[in-house]
Amino acid sequence: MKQLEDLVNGASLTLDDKILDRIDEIVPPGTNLYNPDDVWSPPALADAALRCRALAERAAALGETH
Amino acid sequence: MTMNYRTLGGTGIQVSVHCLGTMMFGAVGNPDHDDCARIIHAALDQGINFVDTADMHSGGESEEIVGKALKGRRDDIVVATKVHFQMGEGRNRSGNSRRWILQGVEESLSRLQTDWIDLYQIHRPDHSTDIEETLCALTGLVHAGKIRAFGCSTFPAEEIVGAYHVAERRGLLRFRTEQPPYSLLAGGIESSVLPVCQRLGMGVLTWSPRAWGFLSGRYRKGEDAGLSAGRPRCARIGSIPRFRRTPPSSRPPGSSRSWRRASAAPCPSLRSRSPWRIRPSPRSSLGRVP
Repeated sequence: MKQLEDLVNGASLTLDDKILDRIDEIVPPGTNLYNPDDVWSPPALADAALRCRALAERAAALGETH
Repeated sequence: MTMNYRTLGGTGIQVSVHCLGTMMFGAVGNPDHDDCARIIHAALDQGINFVDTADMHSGGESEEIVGKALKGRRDDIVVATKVHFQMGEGRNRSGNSRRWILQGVEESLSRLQTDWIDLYQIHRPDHSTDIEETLCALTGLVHAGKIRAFGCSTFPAEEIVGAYHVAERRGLLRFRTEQPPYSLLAGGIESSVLPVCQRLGMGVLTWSPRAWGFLSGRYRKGEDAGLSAGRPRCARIGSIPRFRRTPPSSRPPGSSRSWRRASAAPCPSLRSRSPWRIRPSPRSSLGRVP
């Protein structure tokens, strides 16, 4: 209950631009300081096989030049 | 406090800008049902009309608490819940398949003691299920009157866009909301998820606005943070070098300021960091309590 009361009271806070700019300096916009969710991520990030074509299908094996 | 209301993601449903999150209701957090009910009623008395839960929170206990507490007031409250995570034993009791969604919604309705869910959310992506299958099941639930609208949670921007186009192509209803993690310490969604939601006219709820309690004011400068207590995952924040539990004098300057920030006000994070940088769509509901 105390948590709710604190949160509701805090909802009326207004932060000025100076404070908000300072917050942005500490945590740049668009960034995470920690991974907030490790429950799901694209499977290919964890499974190397999903990131690679079979050896025989790779560009060098096919004689492609880039 | 004067409560403000917004339209939820183009659904026409009016919700308070603050939504009561109930993840910690039940065995995982507060096992006292009466106390949880008192919290719900206090929130409603403040003008909050938006309550969010999930099937997996304390194995369904959170939904039961919400259902019990809303008896007699259900018509005035917008109830949101979720499906995806494993519920009990069984291979087909998780995920985003039509099979599980159709079963899961019945179980949620039963626990919530209601005939309809206002917002039914897919808790996480599921790559073993075609998104068309999921959208088709959810569209059917809307037409059957069991849910009023549906959304997603913690979907990457590309999944949200992909689902949007599948819905459009197949004549299905689309995700109306997204619920990502968002706080002063986790602003990653600002780079793509929030702009996508804004462009698609989706409402945004956020979870973990206080970064697993780190921004709750519980952790104060010079005091033992006790990072192994509370929500179990909270301990992980201690693995971030910047926030590792170290004597105050040896913390880097940024850390010190962050700690002050975390303890400066009763609720520095209720509105998260969004309203001033990513101007939210008027359709969005951004705050979550607690």
